[in-house]
Amino acid sequence: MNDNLTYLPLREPTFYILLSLSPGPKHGYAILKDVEELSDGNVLLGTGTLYGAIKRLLDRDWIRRVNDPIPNGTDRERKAYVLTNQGRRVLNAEIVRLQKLVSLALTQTVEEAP
Amino acid sequence: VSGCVRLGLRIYRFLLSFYPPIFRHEFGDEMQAVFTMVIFEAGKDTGGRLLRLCAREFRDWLGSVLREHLQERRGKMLSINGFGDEKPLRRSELLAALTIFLIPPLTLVLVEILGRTPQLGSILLFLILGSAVTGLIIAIFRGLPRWSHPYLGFLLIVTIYFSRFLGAWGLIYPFFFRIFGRMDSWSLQVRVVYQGLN
Repeated sequence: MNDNLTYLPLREPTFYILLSLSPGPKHGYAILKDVEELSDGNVLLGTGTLYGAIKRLLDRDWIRRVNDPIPNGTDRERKAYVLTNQGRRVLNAEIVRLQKLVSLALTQTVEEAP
Repeated sequence: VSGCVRLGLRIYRFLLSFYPPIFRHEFGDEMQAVFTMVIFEAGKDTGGRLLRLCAREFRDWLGSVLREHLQERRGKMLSINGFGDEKPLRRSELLAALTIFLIPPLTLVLVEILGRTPQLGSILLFLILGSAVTGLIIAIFRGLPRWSHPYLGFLLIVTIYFSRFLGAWGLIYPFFFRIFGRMDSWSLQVRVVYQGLN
């Protein structure tokens, strides 16, 4: 667990990509759309950033490549990505960190001056 | 709009060629497939959306190409040195690695504050060598972690420097010439090493 903490805080695209993959495997386009939706359109990933992040996540063994479970209607095999146990642990650690921040912020909230 | 989409796809294919070959080989096809889906989707909408998408992708391309080239270069250096782990150093490890470089300026500052002393050189040498040796002893017990590499480098330089006075190079030079042959056949790197030893 401590090893995971050295990577925290996660960069915003990394966090959203891991979050997008938490329910199950997704291919690149689905991740791109999911990140846009999860962030209310605030994080719009370009393909370069998306695959750069995917490469690093694969290198760190936080995600792994699988065959896309959803057929794409073409002969070409589409690749999907799925969260590993290590990736899930990192995501959970980041969520706990963010929760602590929010809790702290809520206890320290200053009322707006009239 | 379909003409713009086709043009966008052609430009994207060209821009992909700027990524490092290993990255392109691994992700190029997928990136192209994703971009095709994204641009076709944007193409169904207004021209403005298509333009925004192209501008965003171009901006993203500039950053990501540079980043991937730097990452690959860094990865190569790490693999040459036998370190494939990209885990960032902890703050304590970073401080330990920097100590060897921090001691000389800190000593100078301290000496300036306390007043000049004729033994400045001796104090500096004692502190630097002392910290380097201490660092190295700790590092050996810890299995030579990454933070200890500056200490190793520093002690190697000190060893090379002092070995000149002990006449060690007289023993090394014949081996140097035996390995690399005649001086006029040396590559630039060997010449640089030779000049450095001299």
